[in-house]
Amino acid sequence: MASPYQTARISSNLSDLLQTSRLRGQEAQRNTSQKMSEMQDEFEKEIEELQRKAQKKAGKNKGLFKGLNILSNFLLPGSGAALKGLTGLAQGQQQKKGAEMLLDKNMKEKYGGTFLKSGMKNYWEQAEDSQLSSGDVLRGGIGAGMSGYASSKLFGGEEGLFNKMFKKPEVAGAGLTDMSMGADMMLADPTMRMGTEALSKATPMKTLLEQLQSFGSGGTEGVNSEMQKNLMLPMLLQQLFGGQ
Amino acid sequence: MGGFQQSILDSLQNMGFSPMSFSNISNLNPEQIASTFQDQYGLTAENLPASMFQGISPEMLQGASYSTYAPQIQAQGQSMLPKLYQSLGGQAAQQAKGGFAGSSAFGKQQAGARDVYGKSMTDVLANVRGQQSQGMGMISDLINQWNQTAQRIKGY
Repeated sequence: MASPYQTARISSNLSDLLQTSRLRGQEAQRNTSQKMSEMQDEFEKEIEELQRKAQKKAGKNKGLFKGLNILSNFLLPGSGAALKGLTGLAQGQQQKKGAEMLLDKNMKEKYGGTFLKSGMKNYWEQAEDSQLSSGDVLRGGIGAGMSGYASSKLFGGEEGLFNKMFKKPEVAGAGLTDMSMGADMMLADPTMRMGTEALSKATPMKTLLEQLQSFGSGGTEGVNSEMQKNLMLPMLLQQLFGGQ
Repeated sequence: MGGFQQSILDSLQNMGFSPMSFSNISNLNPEQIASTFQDQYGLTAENLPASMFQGISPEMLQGASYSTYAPQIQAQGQSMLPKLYQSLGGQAAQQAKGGFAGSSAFGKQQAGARDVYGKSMTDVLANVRGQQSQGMGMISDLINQWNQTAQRIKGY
């Protein structure tokens, strides 16, 4: 037969058990909330990382492409178009690959079935919207080619604006000056070293001013053509000096 | 209390656990619990780790078992028995009987004694029943908590 002490102990044990159980329940809820918060943080970090990688991939060789685009402006129209078109294609292809990186199936599987599914769904839809098809890349390349053709026709070749601006006057031994000419080349060029009068007259700024003056005074020939060229000048200068 | 036990076992089965006896539910470990809920809700071990679950402890199972409280019933019942015995056959009964065993006064006295004993025992049983029920509730709450944890992670 159980003593009153044993009976009391049973009741007391039950009370302790109930209390412990209640505390454990609260602890479990806290743990779940913490886990959810951790998952949310992890999800956001993974998306940021994915976007960063995709951007890096899409922007790879950006400087080279920029350089090639600038260069294409001063080539003959056909070559300029081809170079700009190819650059556009390569750039488009890289952007396509970068956008594809956004569609991470592992991530979709990891979070798609959890409380983060709506966030994952939104992200996935945006990532799908940003995808480029092969047609888009091709169209981009063709567009770039056409623009390259137009700009190299304006700036490049014998008749181009660039040639007109930077061409040395017809003096003996004088050729085209090159903006990108290095110090060594400049020193090697006797006309540069000796500072001829003809060369001092043919600075780009001077040519530009002359062109503007001739446009301001009404000019004598090809006013429309000059105007068109002069209107393109800011664009040229921007491209030449870094596009800032 | 068999009905309550059965309903707990049924809900475990509905959650995807294999059929088991009530005394075996404390054998479910956190890994088994997590794995069952991962399957049930299509979650991964990374999203729903075993560390998020606590099993049913043997103490909890004990708190929900009749055997834990049986000594209490026995003890309290037995402490009342001498009084009942005395009421039914002691001096008071003899006086009520007044020499005639079949008299109405004797009958009334016996019925009264039985009522007092019965009421006291009913109170004891109700008390024990309440305690056992609390023990059962604890287990039921814990199982519901497992389910809620999985549902929250799933996003239901």
